[in-house]
Order: sequence, then C-alpha cells, then structure tokens
Amino acid sequence: MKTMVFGPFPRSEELVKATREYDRGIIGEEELKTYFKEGKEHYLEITRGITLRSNGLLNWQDIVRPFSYVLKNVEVGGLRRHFETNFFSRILHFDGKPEIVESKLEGWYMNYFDSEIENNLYTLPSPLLFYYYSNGITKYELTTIFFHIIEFLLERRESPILFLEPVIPTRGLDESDKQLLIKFYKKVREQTDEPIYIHLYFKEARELNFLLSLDIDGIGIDFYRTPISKVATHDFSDKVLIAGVINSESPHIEEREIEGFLEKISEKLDPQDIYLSPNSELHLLPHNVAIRKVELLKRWSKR
Amino acid sequence: MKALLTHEIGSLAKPSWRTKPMRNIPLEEEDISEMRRWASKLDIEKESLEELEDILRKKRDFLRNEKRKIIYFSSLFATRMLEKAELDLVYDGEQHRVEMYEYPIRRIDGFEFLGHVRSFDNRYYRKAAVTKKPKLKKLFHIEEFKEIASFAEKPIKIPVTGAYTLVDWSFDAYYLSGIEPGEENIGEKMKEARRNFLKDMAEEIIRPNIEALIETGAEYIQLDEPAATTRIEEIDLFVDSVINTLTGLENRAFFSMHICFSDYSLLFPEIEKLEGIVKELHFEYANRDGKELGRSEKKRTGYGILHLFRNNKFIVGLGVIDVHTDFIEPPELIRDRILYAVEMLGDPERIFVAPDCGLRTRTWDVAYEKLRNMVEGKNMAEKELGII
Repeated sequence: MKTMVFGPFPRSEELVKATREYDRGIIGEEELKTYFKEGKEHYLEITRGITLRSNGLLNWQDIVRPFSYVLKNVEVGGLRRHFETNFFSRILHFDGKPEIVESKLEGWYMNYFDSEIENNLYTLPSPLLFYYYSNGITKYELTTIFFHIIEFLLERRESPILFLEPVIPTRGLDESDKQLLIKFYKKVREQTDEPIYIHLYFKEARELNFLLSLDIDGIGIDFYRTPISKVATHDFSDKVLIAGVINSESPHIEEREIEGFLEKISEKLDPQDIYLSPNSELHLLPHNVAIRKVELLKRWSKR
Repeated sequence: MKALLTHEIGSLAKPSWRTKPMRNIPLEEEDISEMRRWASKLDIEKESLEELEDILRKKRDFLRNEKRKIIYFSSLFATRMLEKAELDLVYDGEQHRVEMYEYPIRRIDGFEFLGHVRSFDNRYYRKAAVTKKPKLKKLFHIEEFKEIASFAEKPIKIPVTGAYTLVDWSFDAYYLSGIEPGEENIGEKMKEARRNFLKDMAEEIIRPNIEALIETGAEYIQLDEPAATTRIEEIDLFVDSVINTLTGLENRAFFSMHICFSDYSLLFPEIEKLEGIVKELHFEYANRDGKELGRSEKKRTGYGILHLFRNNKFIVGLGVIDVHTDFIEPPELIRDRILYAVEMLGDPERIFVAPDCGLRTRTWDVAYEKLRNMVEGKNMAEKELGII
C-alpha cells in the first residue's frame, strides 16, 4: 500500500523548548540550527518507509513565510487564522514589484528544502493558498513569481510536488481562479515529469469535475469531511486518489478504520492508484501523537 | 446600571517576583526592587510588604506554602493596581491562573494533556483531549474569588472561560469515536458529536462553577469566549452552549461576554438569542481604530461595527484601549471613542468602558497608564454628556 506524509510535521518537545529559548535569547541561532538539524534527522527516521514524504518543514514558521526570504519588496505582517484551526499564519505584504533575489536561492533551498532525502515530496502552498496569505499583489502577479520559484526548485532537484489546497473546499472557485489554475498547472507540468498532486482539506471536497480535468496526477481528499459517495460519482481512472484517512485533528489512532475504508472505496471507486495520507496538516497534533499516526501508516506501507 | 461603567478584561502580566519562583528560577535583587516600587505606588500596607519581603528574600527554593503566599500577594498587588486606576469593577488580572485554557482543563476529569501544538511562530500551547465524559474534579474559581473578595475594596467581576472555547481548543477522542472516514453524512455526525461535547461542558462543568460563584457572592461574571467565531458553521452551537450554561441564572448575576478580535458580524443575528441572558457583549474596537481625535465616522473607523447593536438591547462593552501596543491612548482619544459610541447608540447607559482585551502582554507601567487615561477619558465624556 502506498502512503504519504505531507506538509509540516509537529515540532518535538525538545524543539518546542529550543525555539522558546531562542526567542528569549537563552540560546543563539547556531544552537537553534543544531536542534532543527537533529529534529529533521529524527523526523526522517520516523518517516522512513513512507512512500512519499515532505522534509517535515520543521523550521517553516508557516506555509508561506519562507518565500518572503527570497523575494524583494515583501514584508511579513500580522497574523491571520489558518482557516478554522487555532494556528495562525502571517500575512505577506507586497509593496512594489516582487522580484526573486537570485543570490539567496541556494542558501534558502538548503535551509528550507532538502537535496538528499529519499522519497522526497515537495509540499508547497497552492497559488490560491499563497494568495490567501498575501496582500498588495494580484493573483496573477503572485502566481507568476511563485512559478519562477518552483522552476528553481525543480531545476535544483526533481521530486513529486503536492500543493496544499484548503482554499478550494473552504471558499470555492470563480472563473478567473479556474483559468489561473489551468495555466499554472500546465506550466508546472511543462517543467517536470514527476507527479503533481493537490490536496483538498478542511471542508468537503468540491469542484472535483474541474480539478480532475487539470493536468495533474492526483487529488487528495479529506475523508473526515467528505463522504465516499461524493467522490464516487467522479472518474478517478487516470488520477491518483490521496485518501486523507488519518485525522490530523484527532488523537485517535485509526487502527480499525482504514481497513473498512479501503473495502468501501474499492466497491465504489477505481482510481489509478491510492495513497493513504493524513486528511490535513499533521502539525495540528502534538509530536508524540503524530508519530503514532505515522507508525500506523508505515505498517500499511508494508502491506 | 451605571452609565459608562469601567472595568477590565481579565488578564494582566504576572510580575517577575511571581513567575520566577513558580519556574524555580532564582530571584534577582531587581525583581525585589520592582516589587517594592509597586508596593509603594499602590500603597500596600506595611505589614503585607514586610511579609512578602521576608518570603522573597530567600530568592530560591521556595516551599509550596511560600509559593502560595507569593500568588496571594501578586493577586493583592494587581487588584490594588486596578483600584488605584479607579475602575468601577476590578479583578486580580488572573494571577492565580496559568492561563485561561490549561487552568480549568486541569481541574476537569476526562481530559488528558497530550503535548504542545503551535499557535503561531514559536508560540505554543498545551493541548488536551477529552477521553471520557467530563466531570468536575473540583469547583475551580471559588478559592480565588473568595481570596480577592477578602481584600478588594471595589466590586469584582470574575472571568470564566466558556464551554465553547474549552471545547474548540481541545481534541475530541470521546464524542467523535466511532466515526469512520468517508462515511455517509460525516459532516452532520461530526457536528452532532460537537453538540454533545458542548452540552456536557456547559451543563456539567461551567454551569456548576458559575452557580457556585453566585452562591459565594459573585455579582458580575464575564464569560470569555475567544473561539466564538472560529467556525462559521458552529455559531448556532456556540450560542446554544451559552444558553445551556446560563439559562435560569440570568437574574442572579450580571453576565457579560468577551469575544476576542474577529469578524463579529458572523455572530449576528444568532447571538441575539442571548438577549436577556447575557447583558453585556464586549468586543475589541480600539485595535482597528485610528489614533486621531474626532467623533466622525471617518476618524472612528474601529467603531463602525457598533451598528450591529442598533437592533438589540445588549449593553456594549466598548474596547477603548488597544492591548497590543505600548501607545498610551490620551484621555481625549478615549473620550472621543466613547462619545462616538454614545452617538451611534443614542444612550450612554448602553455603554460600558474597558480595554479591548486582557492587558497581559503589556508591562504593569504601560497597563496602569493606559487604564488611568481610560478612566480620565471616561470622566471627560461623562462631563460632556452632563451625567455627573
């Protein structure tokens, strides 16, 4: 069975302590980097055996902040609630034409992505999610600059990409969004032969007909908000189904539920392939709980 | 009720001579000097000061009863500070509590703390899961209330975290059990589980605490519900939880409700079901308002949402101090904010005056200056309205 762990993983209690001490001036930047390095090594050990995994994004303060560090004319601003969770992200304020600072890209890549990890899955905000946390810029301008960053990532290392997409389920799409997404994913497709996935979460999946028509390889569904019957009416025969069956907002370990889910889905849907995955972002759980969920996924990886 | 009554909204910072002993960090001489400076400013009785000094002089390895005494004194100091600022209703800035979530949850059977989750940047909170039907271990606000009542010289208003916020900030490993991924009507089933969790928390946990507070003599009780607008589709559940908490008690105490900065329009009209139960609705206004003087719509941009109160009878808890900056609002600015609100609502008796939220992120010096100016601004507004 294929499995996937995407997006930010929760920080360990040691890392929580270290980041707090850094903020209080008790430890310095170099020491903090050591903690992050150890944290990442631990994460990679925990997720070894998962078919596709992000690098844990442990040092990402939120899902868009790292991009501000390679762009000119951007300032990090106030907080905005991360949809209906109790996590908050900072808004990026664009003032003037955004430009990539080429000289920073390599160091930035090494800090926020990873060159060597096995089974690497780039986890990135979708263009709509990036725009949700931005102001002072049009969707078109933002998507253009964001695409250039993705170009750099793929030149640096080709890996499957998963775009986090809570905006579509929570807010829907208008016609201009659809045109923007068609162009965006077409351009990303031209850059890579690796799979391109999107994951819909935080609300019931919608716009599936449109999304299935995009030049992408798979779609993730939050099955704690979407009944199988809502997905079963669509044709997934040429798409991968990323089945969000591990609940990132509950400490319950889904020992029993996955088997039943797979039976039901096989009766109603015949996707090209299935990945078992969290329904949303694992960093919403404490570290020790997230580890137990990953261990469960690893057991499924062996089946 | 008195027009333009002034009060605070819960928390104040905890002084270093209060926090360090609890974390087993040795006190420095400057911590003790700071305590003396405030003791002098607040006219703390000589006897109390000497007793506190005796304890703090030890600087480290405080015993349990000594820590208990330190909390008592920080509570006394904070209460005196609000009295000195001349607020009409006071409290102790929540000196007894760790914070508004963990403090009550630790006193409820059926919850298990699982670890830290991030709220933003490098900020985290300990999050618990409900694992069985919640049961009150012990009434959790009576002792602090009695203690503050023993020395407060002004009427006190006690803040209590509401059921909705405690539920929203917790994981659910009990009411949601049995829900299968992808099952039919999963959204409705999740909502039903939430409704049951809220009902138990309102009826079995928060209500008994409030009843006991009333029996102990509490006359003003503030329900804190910062999570109220988190989930748009649950506004009805939030309102039901308040009804379940307070119905039948509405004539036995004055209930206010504080909701942190958010899109308040989401609450209306559903929240109007609480008319007659909750008397005062306190929102944040100042942090979205301009700093220039004036009483025009253009100058008072933060107060446009007052139109939400035109078709109901709630008393408006008017946030006139931005708690997120050290900017000390001049009394004239406070006055103009109040007078603008009076003009919008047409009745000063419908307005109470307060900071936007708890002042715990400000130093005591800043908090005190802000509160002093708030009262002075309120006095200026009263004078102009001819109500003194």
